[in-house]
Amino acid sequence: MTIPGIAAHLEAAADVSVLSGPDAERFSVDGVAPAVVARPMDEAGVSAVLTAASEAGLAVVPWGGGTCMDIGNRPRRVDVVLDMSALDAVVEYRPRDMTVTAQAGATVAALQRVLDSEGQFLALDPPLPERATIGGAVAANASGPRRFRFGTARDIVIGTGAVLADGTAIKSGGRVVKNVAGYDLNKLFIGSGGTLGVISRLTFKLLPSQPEHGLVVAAFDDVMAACGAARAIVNGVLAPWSVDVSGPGAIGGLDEALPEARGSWNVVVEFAGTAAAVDRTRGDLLALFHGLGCRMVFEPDGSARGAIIAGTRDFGLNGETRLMLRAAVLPSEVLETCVMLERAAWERGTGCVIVARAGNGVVLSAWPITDPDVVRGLVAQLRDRLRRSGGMLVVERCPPEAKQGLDVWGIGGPDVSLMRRLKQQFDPSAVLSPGRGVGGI
Amino acid sequence: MTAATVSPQLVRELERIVGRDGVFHRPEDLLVFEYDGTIDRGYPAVVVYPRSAEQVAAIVRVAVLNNLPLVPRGAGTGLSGGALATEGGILMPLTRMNSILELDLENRIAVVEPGLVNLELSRAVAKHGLFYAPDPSSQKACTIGGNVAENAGGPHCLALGVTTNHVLGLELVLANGEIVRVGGWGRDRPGYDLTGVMVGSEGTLAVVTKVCVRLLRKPEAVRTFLAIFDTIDQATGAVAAVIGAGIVPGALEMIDKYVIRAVEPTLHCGFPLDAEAVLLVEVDGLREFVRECAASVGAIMREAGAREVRSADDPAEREQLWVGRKGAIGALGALAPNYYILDGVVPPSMLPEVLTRVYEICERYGFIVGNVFHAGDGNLHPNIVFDERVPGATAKVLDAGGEVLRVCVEAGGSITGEHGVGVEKRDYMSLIFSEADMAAMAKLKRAFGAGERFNPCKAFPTHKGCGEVHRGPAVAALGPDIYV
Repeated sequence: MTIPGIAAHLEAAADVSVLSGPDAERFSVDGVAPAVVARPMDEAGVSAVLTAASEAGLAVVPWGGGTCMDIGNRPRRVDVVLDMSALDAVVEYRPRDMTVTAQAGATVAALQRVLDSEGQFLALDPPLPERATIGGAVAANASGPRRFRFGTARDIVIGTGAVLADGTAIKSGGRVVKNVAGYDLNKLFIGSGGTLGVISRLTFKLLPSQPEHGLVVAAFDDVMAACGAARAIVNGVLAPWSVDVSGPGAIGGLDEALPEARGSWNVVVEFAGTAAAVDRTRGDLLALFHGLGCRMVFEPDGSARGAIIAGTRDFGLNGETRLMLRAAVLPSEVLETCVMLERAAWERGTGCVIVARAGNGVVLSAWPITDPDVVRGLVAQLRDRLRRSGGMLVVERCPPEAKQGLDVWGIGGPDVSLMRRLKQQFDPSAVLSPGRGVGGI
Repeated sequence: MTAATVSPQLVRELERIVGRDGVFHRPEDLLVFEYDGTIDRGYPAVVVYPRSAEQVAAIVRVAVLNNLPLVPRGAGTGLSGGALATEGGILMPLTRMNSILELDLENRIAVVEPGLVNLELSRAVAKHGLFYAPDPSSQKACTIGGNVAENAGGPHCLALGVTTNHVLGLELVLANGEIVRVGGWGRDRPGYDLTGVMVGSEGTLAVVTKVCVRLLRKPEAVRTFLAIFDTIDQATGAVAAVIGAGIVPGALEMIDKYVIRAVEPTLHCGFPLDAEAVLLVEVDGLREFVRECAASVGAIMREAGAREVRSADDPAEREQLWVGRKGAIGALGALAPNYYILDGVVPPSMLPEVLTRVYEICERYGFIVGNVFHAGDGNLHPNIVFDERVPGATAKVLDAGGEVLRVCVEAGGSITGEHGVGVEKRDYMSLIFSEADMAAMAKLKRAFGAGERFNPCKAFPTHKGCGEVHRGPAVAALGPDIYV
């Protein structure tokens, strides 16, 4: 079947609306526009699209809210973008059992609002929740500052419905939080980046909303002091929701709300619980920060609090970032990683802004570099330095031209060979997002 | 050579790999390895104890060359038959690989060998104020490797998660003898979550030779409550009220009247023999939180009609409150020579209804059933006591178990919450998975290149060729009633 044939075939199939031509350009992936955007209304439609596409030997890239579409190697081809946004229903919500099942195209924020009405919440805080879909966030294994307290998708997903490259619908897990029947295929789809299957629905375990919330921001003169404070909190007995270190200029909302904190290295701590627990946490944090010689401590509330929390979560995603890197190191290596990034920027006569999820060893940095050669040189140098201690560096976002000759994931080895064999089993014809994955999967 | 017996050459080959003290092939030695925590039996042709990943790899190559099944084994405490050599071949206990290889206190990570006993890990890091969270009831004996194979839970997994949430990476030996590391070992690693699919794979995909785990900081304060109820309904009502109040306890366990009557005479917990249920609730965290929570939990228990509420925050006293729950299974042994533990899981809201059905089913079959359950996550463990010497008793027990599993699935649950599918639940997989679902799992197995090498005929529906191996002739010659 040709591509015009596919469009006609899909439109004739039940419940699939199709875009093509200039309307489809909005759904470009790394600058490659699809010939067709198919938007199914239900899971049967998802199967129909994949069955037709795989029979015609076409490449399909799933699309949720588009917030993570930059992440991945340049696709070898993009014929069909599979727009999952119409599958946005809450399928089953059992507040008494603290589980919810929703279709993959539901946005994270929309789902949170449903849960909030019953005094519960989903402990996943990926960036841009008003746009990010649960399917996309899980496929990208997107996470935010709250992963410190609650973990990531693998700690929250208990059931998955997915459609494989040939259109076959499968499910794994179930609706109960304890379940060891069969292989844990939930884990397979998490972080698979649209290369192993299309997630069509997810079941999550939930938590009760907390009565009180708090946010404390401490401004330090230098990165060493800030990282030291963060480390003390991470290793202590308090159980905050998040502990982030942010460099000067990293979080717009913070600079606006706390002008006196400009130019500092800040530690941002979110916490919640009962009134007594929140008071205790707040008290301990203030004592710790003052004891370590911080310049100032702030306790933003209201809209400032919301803006800072969102800014820390959505770091680098304001549309201005040209290059975003994610270093994965051990929590004890966060300081030296921040220092290394700053030095690399200084060596190139530029600057970078940094946010570190201090308790998880994730150091994000945003750079104003667009020249592909400079990008490649920088990435190679940083990877070389990180490799010595076992750290990794992912290029989360960069100009599409810079992706030429660049492996955004930067890992190899026998485990990658195993991953290739998984891909070979699940998508032998490389229908799904070909080339985007680790090792060119 | 069949999978039931091995040649002297094979024995010598294995001795060359692990030394003579690492290989067992005499009938009286093989007997000891025929059982685990279930009523099933398996008959290995030879037992070999490796001490390193390299030795494991060499043993795998021997198994391949001789086309023999290879069954990795931990402490043999499993409750689904996972550690039994049901298809004969080589049984490979990993208990001589039991060291803590690395301890990174700063980042709270440990690298351990699979044969390390679960509780030993927590004991080793206790002095640093740390612990390893997954705490199955068998933790004094079970091994980390076995926990990985089954994705083991435990009472404290309600708040903290199960084994897979605490494993950061693995070292594996694949079916071709290759040694591979998967996972980030404390750092985020891009790509597919190979660690995640290995945990809970019941020893069928690869052999685990190292486990990188996350350690947690001990909470500042802990308080344990024990509440005694006249009726089961009051107890399940109390559970619902705790969850409804937005409290996520560290543990929420229940035992029923049959368990109470079994434990009281031997363990003297002070349980009234006419009580229908005892509930254990544990809350932990900051001192202030525990204090506040304690008041709420106490009030909830009394409002739900508790006859008596005890609580403790001192470690020794808390241990005392747990005695009845922890000693439950052992105490049931006084009622009859055999027991069969089920592992059903349902949405917690369905527990009262399902429990009623469990009692009804067991009564119909003529069995006493004592229930122990993880009330917070809907994971129930009916313990059916019986005597296998009574003709037909075992078959009846298995039938009763099957009916209970069907009830759990109908209630929206699963066929196994934490014990694994193993042997006796493999033919119930089709209650919850379609052919397409199982075909997808088969793709995973093919990706690992495992074929039927590791732990064949486990975890998935049986096919022709399963269950044809019986006791080898030399062992059988020891006599029909030989029993350990």
